[in-house]
Amino acid sequence: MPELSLAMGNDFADLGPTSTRVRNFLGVCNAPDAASFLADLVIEELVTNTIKYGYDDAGAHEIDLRIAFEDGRLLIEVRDDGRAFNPLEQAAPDTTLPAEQRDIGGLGIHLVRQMTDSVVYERRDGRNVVRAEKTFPIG
Amino acid sequence: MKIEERHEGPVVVLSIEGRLDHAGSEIFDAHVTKLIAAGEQKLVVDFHRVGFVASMGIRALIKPYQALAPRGGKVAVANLGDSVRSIFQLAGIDQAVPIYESVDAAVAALS
Repeated sequence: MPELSLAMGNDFADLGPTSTRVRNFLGVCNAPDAASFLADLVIEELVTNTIKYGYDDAGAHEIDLRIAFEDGRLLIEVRDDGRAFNPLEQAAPDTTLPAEQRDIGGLGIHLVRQMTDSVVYERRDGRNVVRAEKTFPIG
Repeated sequence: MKIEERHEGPVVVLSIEGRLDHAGSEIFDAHVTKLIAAGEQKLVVDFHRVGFVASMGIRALIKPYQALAPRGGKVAVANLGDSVRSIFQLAGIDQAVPIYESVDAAVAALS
């Protein structure tokens, strides 16, 4: 399975260049536009959460990404060395509430869950590992 | 993120180009906050040149809606691509921030 591994810092400025590299890789794999969009979304939401809430110090950390695509199947893995945190335990936002009363917390992970086939979290070797998968129709 | 602004009667049309990600949403939010502070009440956001929206982008649209709704103001969006449209629908904000097929239709609805 063709695979891209890359590392980024815990810095919002790294998100743009990371997105470009991921989209370029998926373009080479002839992945559909929807797969590129989804990879972008998953990385943006998970990494934003990690940068904002994941660390007890203000130092530099590395966030590792792995993206693979073959036969319509997209896999995205995000690993960080922040404090143990399972984003899947976050309560889903009530998207049926009138927008006046809406609290936006948890929306990012809600979107990731809704748009993928599966999202799995594990704490492995002192790191948070989140793996998301989605299969797209080939045609 | 590039924002072009034009006025069509009482409606401000914002044509944005780029990504409504973390960085883009902050720029958009700052722009819209200034417009609302200046007294604008009706906003149409043209998504024709927006290929990506994350949850921060949704937040940047709900915020002006929440500010404007109590004083009778409105926010609408137009020209959404398929992926962007599904984000709006999954976030459940299409009830508050209606989606139109074209800027003209959105402007007509808000005027």
